[in-house]
Amino acid sequence: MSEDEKKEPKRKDEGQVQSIVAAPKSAALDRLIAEVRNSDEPNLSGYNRTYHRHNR
Amino acid sequence: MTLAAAMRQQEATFRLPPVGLTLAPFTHAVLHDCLPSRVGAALLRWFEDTAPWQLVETDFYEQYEFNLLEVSPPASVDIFQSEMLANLSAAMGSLFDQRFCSMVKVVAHKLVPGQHIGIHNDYLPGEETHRLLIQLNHGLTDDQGGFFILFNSSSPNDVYQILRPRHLSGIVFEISPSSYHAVSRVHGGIRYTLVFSFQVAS
Repeated sequence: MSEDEKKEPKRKDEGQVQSIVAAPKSAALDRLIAEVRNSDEPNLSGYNRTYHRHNR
Repeated sequence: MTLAAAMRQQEATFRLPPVGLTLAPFTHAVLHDCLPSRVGAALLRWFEDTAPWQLVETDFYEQYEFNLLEVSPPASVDIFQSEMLANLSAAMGSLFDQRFCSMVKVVAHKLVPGQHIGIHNDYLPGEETHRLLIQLNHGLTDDQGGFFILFNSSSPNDVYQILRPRHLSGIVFEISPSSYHAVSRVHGGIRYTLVFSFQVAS
């Protein structure tokens, strides 16, 4: 057993979880990366202060 | 509590099995069928009919949101009662081997075509420490986007894993300076998410 397998043993529901994981081909992956790239250097503290924190 | 009420509560319980956590790039686990399908269908009906969505626009993102603890969900959506949330908090505690505050925050998010969430890590010292996200939708195809993406670092090129927004699937994760994630643009359909926030008891 490899070191990785020791740390993270296979789950009984591995098949169902794997169906949630997507593995897009490179062009589609490039598109996804472009979609989530922040337009400028991300202002993480600003982002984190606002995201999930409305209406509270 | 009557037997019938106890059975209804049991049927509506969150499903967080004791799965192993993946430690890299930050502590998390991917889950499936986090809620009974009956509850998922009732939530979708509410979200589509009368839920009080508010459009939030900032410099960083745009999406529809509302706080689930400030509204009265329909009777068919019976998962936000304090007892249910306390059980959820306990289940999260077992999963992460932590003890969480009893207060659980719950908001709903809605992304429509054209909307996305850029890369960020949720980390704010002294604030929430863990999250559970549950996806709700009518079956988004890969072409419709809305993928949840985990990153190894703050670089968008440094993708660790891409998760489909499969109905009732979920992810739990520990919020940290390295918990970088994002949601790719929605190109079709509507992507709903329940966001549960937890804080480790000090």
